[in-house]
Amino acid sequence: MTSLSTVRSHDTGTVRFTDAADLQRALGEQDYIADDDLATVVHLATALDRPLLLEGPAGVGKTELAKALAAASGRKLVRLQCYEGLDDNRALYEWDYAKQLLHVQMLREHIGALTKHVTDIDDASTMLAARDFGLYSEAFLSVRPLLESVLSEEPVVLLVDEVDRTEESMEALLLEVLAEKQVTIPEVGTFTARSDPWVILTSNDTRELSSALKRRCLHFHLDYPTAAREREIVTARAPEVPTQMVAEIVDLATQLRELPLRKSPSISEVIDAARIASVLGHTDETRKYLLAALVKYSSDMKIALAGPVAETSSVATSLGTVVNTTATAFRGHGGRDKGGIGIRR
Amino acid sequence: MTGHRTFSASVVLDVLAAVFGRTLRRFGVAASPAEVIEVRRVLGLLGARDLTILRAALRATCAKYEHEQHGFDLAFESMFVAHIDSATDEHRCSVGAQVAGGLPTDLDVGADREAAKYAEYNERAVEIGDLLDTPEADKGFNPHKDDDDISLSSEDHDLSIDTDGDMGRRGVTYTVDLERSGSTAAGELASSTSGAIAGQLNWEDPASILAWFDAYDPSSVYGDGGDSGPLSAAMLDRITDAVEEFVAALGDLTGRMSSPVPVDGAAQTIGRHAEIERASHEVLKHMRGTPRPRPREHARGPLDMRRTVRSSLRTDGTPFRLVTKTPVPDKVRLLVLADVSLSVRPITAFTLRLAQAMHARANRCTVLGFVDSPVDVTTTLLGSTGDGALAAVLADARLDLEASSDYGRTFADLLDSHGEVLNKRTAVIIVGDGRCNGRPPGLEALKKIRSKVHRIAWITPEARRYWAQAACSMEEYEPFCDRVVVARDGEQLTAQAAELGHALS
Repeated sequence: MTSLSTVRSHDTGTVRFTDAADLQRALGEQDYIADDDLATVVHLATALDRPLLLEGPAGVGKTELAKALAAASGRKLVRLQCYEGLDDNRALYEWDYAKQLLHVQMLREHIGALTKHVTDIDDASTMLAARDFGLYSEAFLSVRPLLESVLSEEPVVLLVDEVDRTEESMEALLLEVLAEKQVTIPEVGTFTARSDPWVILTSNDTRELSSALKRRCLHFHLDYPTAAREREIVTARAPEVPTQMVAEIVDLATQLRELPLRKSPSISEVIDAARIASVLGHTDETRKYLLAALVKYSSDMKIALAGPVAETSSVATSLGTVVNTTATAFRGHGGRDKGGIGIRR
Repeated sequence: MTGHRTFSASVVLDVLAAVFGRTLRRFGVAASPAEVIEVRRVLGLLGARDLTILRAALRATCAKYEHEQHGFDLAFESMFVAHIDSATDEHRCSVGAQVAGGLPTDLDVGADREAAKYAEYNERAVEIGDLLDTPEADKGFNPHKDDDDISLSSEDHDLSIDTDGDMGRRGVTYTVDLERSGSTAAGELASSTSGAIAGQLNWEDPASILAWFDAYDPSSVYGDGGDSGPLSAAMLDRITDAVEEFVAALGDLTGRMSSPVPVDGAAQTIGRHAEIERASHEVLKHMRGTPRPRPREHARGPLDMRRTVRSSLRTDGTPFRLVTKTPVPDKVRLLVLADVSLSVRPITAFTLRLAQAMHARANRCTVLGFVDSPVDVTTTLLGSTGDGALAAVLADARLDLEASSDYGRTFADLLDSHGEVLNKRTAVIIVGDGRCNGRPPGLEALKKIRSKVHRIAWITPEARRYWAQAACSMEEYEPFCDRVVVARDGEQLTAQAAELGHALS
């Protein structure tokens, strides 16, 4: 890899990265520790101008990557948080009816004066129709994230968060924006991107995305980091925690992830746990508070307490015993959601 | 690619990308032309200096589904990480090439072990380019040539591969010697002003091959008749074919891949798993969950008065926006009821794999295994993804594998003890042959289940003509199911996936 320094273009003040190592270093300055593969793929996405689709369990730093990338490149972050029932009014744009109404009311007197001499209602209607009151102009648009990223003069990182939560119709809308980088508003015309937005989509994989969307994006599966990398991340994010303690907490989290939990501890939860440990100290008494940060379901807590916390000899044996007990098999039964049995993870 | 008038070195990368695309498709990775273009851009951007980086980059470009990952790895390895171990050496065979129009049309890998014909060459090497009769004196003699060399002498199209050189002495390497004199025409005397360019390419170092490709101007090699004009489309096609065949042949030598369909057992298993994954993906793609009322504007359905008033208050009722309770499909909830009894043992792996694949994809999926009574094996299946999970399910103490299947009791038990999984939002897939072995078929129980759940579909391995047999109650069960599908493997299920998905919606 060449050791060229980061290129900062003069007109926009934003950064293009020369290679993956450069990007990795820039992200590192934002306390985001990316491994080589991820850095390569993110660099590719910026170099090829392709949307990047990140998939993986919750809490592995997908959203954080977009934030760090925006900060590292000096771009504005535009975020579209997806949810069930998100429609184009919330994602693209909406006409601000109230504002338009007020505008017309303010013009009422002038309109009255203008049409005073016209007696025929048809003539008045034709005359008003021929005039443009500027009601359908950019001033009356309520700009939503997708349009904002297209309109923005300043380069942006567009984060489409948790795209799997929307319906497929929304994906189709995204396709148009992602592929053409343009938005068409019937009353005004077509807006083409004023600066090339870098697009990052995240998905928790709760639903299979349409292949049309997948095929248009670079795809990266972000998983839990290796223990060494996780230690690095925790140290970067919580520098006040002693190294030895970080290692212990990360080990604990790694063991917990081996257990069949309903929700494995995410990186942010590990950081929280490390902070707790630095305040309370890491002893057998305080361990339950650590677990409170790492494990969020009572059914999981039972498994966790039977697992690594019970100081069994190894993870493998604890895993074996846990899986085979009937208590585990029927854990959480009776609750409304059946304690997570059957929820995909 | 045919549009190129000026033929530049980048075409080599085009060819490489195209070949990689085809190799990917062979391994079951659905790489679209658009993605192959991306591959080309990635190759141009990154080169192959660092294979781990290239692998990550190409994976992001091409392999977007879980079931494609393994195929991608195989394709990548056969293209870029072809290394040869001594264990496969005895399978090596001689390579002969047909040469036409300055290009090899076809690389045939045969058992031709005829000795070399020219004295100054290694006697155990087989000549490929002997169709061209340029004077031997013009040929570049390479004193450093090793025993295991492929020697490409481009100005006379000589390609020689040693077939039975001593193997294993220090590991076997394939070295391609490329030597090019300044002349552009085959057989023409090299002009004295330009020195010969010699380089060594070694299969153990693919990066240098790619780097060499980058720096190389192919028109001087292939431009025959003294004309170094653009390469014709036909020749380009032949290069693509030749490189692809060469990779295939190389893969054969290295014991990786040879035929379009991977033939060894492991690869077949991969194929089967991918097939089942694809089938369940197809089924779920066509499935919609139970419709639930959701507030929507500009849609059909009964009016949601509260939301309508609320949304219109903001603009004082002008414009008046109607919000309706639109039925929107919910996320898919599945209950898979899998027969694991002895009579359906041949397809048990398929059944459980299907359940596992469904489980990994559906939002909520409960898996019940049964022989004579249903057992919740969701947690066991959920524990891991490999074959270990299947073994663990079959080893479950609650499943009596020796018993003969009893559908009547299973359905009754399901109603009694697993009533909470049966609700109007759940679609049920029963996998089994419907053979009750003379026991009561439990039609009443199935009818009751049908009234409790959203949809029922049945996947049976037995063809319809066997349903009439006495032990089989499939014909009686059929009226209660929304769809009965006959499938024994992923391929058959994929074919009917759309119907099954729609029936379950």
